[in-house]
Amino acid sequence: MKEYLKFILITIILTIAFFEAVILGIIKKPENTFHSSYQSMIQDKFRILMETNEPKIIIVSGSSSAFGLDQEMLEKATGYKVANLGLHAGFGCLFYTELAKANINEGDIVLLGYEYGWQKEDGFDNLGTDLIMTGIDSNIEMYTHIPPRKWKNFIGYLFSFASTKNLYQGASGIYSREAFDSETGQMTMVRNYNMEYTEEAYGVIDLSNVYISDNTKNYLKKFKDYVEQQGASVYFISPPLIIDSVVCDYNEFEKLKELEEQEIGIPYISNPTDYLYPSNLMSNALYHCNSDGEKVRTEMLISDLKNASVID
Amino acid sequence: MLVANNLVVIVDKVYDDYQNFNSAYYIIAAISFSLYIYADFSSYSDMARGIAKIMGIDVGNNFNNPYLSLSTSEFWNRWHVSLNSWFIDNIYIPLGGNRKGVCRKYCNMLIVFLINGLWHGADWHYVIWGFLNGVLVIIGQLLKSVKKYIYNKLDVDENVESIKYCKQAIVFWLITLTWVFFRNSIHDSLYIIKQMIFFHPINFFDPNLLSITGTNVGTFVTIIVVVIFCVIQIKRKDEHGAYLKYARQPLLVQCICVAFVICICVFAICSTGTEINTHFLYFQF
Repeated sequence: MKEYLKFILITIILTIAFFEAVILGIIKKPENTFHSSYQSMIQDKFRILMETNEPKIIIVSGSSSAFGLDQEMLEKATGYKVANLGLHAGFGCLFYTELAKANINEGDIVLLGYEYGWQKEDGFDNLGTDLIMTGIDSNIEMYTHIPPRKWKNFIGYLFSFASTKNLYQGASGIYSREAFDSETGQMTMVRNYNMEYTEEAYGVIDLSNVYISDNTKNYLKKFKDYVEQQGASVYFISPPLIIDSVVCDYNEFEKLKELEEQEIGIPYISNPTDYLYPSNLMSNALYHCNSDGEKVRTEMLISDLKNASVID
Repeated sequence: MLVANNLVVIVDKVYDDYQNFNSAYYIIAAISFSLYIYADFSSYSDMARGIAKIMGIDVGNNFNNPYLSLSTSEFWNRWHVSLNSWFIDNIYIPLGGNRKGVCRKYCNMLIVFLINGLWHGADWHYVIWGFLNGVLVIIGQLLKSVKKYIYNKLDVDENVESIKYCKQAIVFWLITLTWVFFRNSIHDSLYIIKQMIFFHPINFFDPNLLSITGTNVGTFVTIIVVVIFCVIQIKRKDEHGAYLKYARQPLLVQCICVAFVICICVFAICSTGTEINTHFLYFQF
């Protein structure tokens, strides 16, 4: 019996050791392979969130807030520091919402600006495993913010990650780290061009018969409770969206706003249709502002925050 | 299941959309299905064997390396032994077995195979599958004396390794062709088999074949696990010897072996996407 227990114990220890060695070996060797990639900017954005302990505005969204927010303007107008986690909707709403939880303190303002689609079944809960792993790369601390129920997907992606790492050539241009200021997380690459929208190239936004899935409602209710326990406040805001892409009645946007307030209980401080922009304010995707659009969106957001008395 | 789940990706991809693929894909899919059905069903049987053994019951081997058979009749003596024994005891022998002349013997064999096909499902493609296997076994038995005559005439020992490998390859190929009917409708099967038999060698030089599982890495992993699986299956005839060899090793080496296998299993389970059908094929029969 003693021998058998010894066998079990050694086997368990060795299994854990092998397992850890494979995972860490692939993640850590070599380090920061994807440093030049667009998605790796999430590491800087997360660092800014963690280092900002004074009252701050935390932006939780996809790329609409990477391309559509002038953080300096927002900071000057509100007096709050800004931790803008907006980078890539493909990460999945769950991921950047979980990241935001890492440093929410008393007096913070959390603004949820999810791109449309999050409200559907699995729209919130799906994580872009490949984007997240190539984004957070060898930053082990960030992996701890992935919900344990999603770990299986990440372990399963590990060998594909190794292969991607092996073949990665680097990135440049607007979809790379060089488009950002790594100190502030602000997109600094100028986008002085207008969007040439076509339905075939960019798709459409249709909110007909809009509803919010139960699992999303439950998660966001818990998130709201968590934020309030921390002494912070949370609000929904609208993402900027090119108006040409909307194929449903504008009332559906209002209906979604009502559902968010009634069924989740988080106040919605924007008027969604105000954020439906013409092509001369947008750049290269449905939710991506150009440099002019970024200013307009930020001014509107500041105005919404003031009108809703979120800030003075 | 690791092997079966990797192979079924190829099978489903090609067979479910067979009109968009060429003969090279059909051949790979057919071979994959042969290995898949064996991996799936033998693992299922091994689990049952293992559970029975824990309770002190030895239910015996259900598979005895059938793809190493030298003839189609030997294949059916090694494949799904429990079901075939039942068919022999309850259908073949009551029908008269081989006691009522050669013609009657072959008729009885064909009836058994037709019923075997029907047992798998009330669908014509199962009947055709059973019929084809019956025909192959009968032809094999009829040709036995002819083959012996040829070997004697050519002064060739049919037990030498090269002849054995040729026989195994032919049996595997014939059984693989019949499995096409097991998986697909008759119409689809006829088309696929025609393309497989009259295949164009140039089709094998398609670089897209490397990503037949969806990705190059996936194909590489599938090849590795299938090779390991085949080696393990070939060595299985000496499974007791392998266990004794393992048991003789120092405790630490034993632990390392078990830990290594557990790690492979955990990574394999995690790598299995939810979109892959992980049910045992034989649950439906």
